[in-house]
Amino acid sequence: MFIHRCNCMYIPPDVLENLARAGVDEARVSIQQSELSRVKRSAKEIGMEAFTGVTTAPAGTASRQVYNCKNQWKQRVDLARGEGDPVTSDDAVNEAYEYAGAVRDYYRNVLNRNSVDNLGMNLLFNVHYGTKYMNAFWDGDEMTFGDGDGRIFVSFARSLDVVAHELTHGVTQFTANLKYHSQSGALNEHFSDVFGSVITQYKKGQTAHDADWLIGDEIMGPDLYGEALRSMKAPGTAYDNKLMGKDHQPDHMKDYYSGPKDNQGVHINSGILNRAFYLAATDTLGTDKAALIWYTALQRLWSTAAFNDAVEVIVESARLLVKSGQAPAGSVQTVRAAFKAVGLPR
Amino acid sequence: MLIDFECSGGYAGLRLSYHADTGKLPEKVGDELLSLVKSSGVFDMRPDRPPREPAARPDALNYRLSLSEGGREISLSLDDADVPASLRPLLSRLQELALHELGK
Repeated sequence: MFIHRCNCMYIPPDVLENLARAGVDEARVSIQQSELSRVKRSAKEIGMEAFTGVTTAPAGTASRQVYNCKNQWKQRVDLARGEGDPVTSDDAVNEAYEYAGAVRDYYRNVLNRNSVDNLGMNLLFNVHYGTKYMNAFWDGDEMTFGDGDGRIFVSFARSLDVVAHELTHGVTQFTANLKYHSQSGALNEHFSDVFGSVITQYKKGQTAHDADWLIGDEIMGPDLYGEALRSMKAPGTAYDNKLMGKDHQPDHMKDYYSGPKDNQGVHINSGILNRAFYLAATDTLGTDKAALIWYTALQRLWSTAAFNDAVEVIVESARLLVKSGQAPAGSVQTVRAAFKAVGLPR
Repeated sequence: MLIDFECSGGYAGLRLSYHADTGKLPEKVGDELLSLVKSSGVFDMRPDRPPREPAARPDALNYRLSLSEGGREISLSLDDADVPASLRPLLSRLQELALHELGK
């Protein structure tokens, strides 16, 4: 098998970056495809034919494929349920399948987006990964979910906001491709929490005012029933117990975390932005309009965007949507006020 | 054996750490850890020189592990996509011990 390990780019990355920032979409696609290729090459050995497939993927059918890892530390062990297959005897498989469909349908029907890459990319899920694995992640082309330890966390595949959060990392990869560290990484996390909440509210028929705005409450185990991982409404209050400690998310830039852990705080500082989205949605916009503004912004951001950049782009996106009649008058001011309340721009 | 372990990130935004001298732990725990270290083959692994930061994959757990005993020591920095299968049982047990410490 021939392994292609080229790391050459005809157009320098910094030139592409500037073009993308200026709104040249072709440059954005080039950067994204190059980044994706680098991620896949560094993560998995691939043959030349697979590398070619990454850069010239044809429009797909957004089909769901749920694999059962059978508690092995390997992905794609056993295809348990494919698109259109009947329910199985495994609850995690069935729920991952249903939630993947809910997320796919939201992006398609509400935001006119054809799967994660807007080209019908198939949705691959791995459930029952490892033993007592307390996590879920997106690795560039598929999602992986652990069963938790049964005490602190239960199965990560059995929560719609977890599934929507992870799939949105894929959407981000194929749009802004926000680098996963520091402020761009916190933005990446923020957009995933936003659409985790938005899609959950959509599925449950909730409004901004009757939603709980909690992230991860459905995966808390019996020892921590009632707790959650994050609160978009009140960052810093999601949990406080002996097992997990205290929720350390800030809700304002004055408490910004600048340490090294967690890729320089990507799950920590996202709280500041999450609070801003909550304020915008519950002020006058409602969740649906706020989501449309944020999704519009996600398509205009770039990989190294920082918080101040995101504020500027989100406000500009609101302005464009007001102009086109897709967002109500006053949206710009509502968004600005929401960010001002959390200390942005700085 | 001195063990320094940190696990951070992931969907839950975990921040766990566990630091121990196996000679000062309850015998059963210490023996278990030594056995897991041995079966993992960790001292035969060749960490990158210079050590690289793990590729930042969304919601992947990041692990930092340092072991030293007698004249040998090793330090690793990995994320979920990089962890060798043989190392998983040791990392899982260290994560459990770190959570147990939190609960005290």
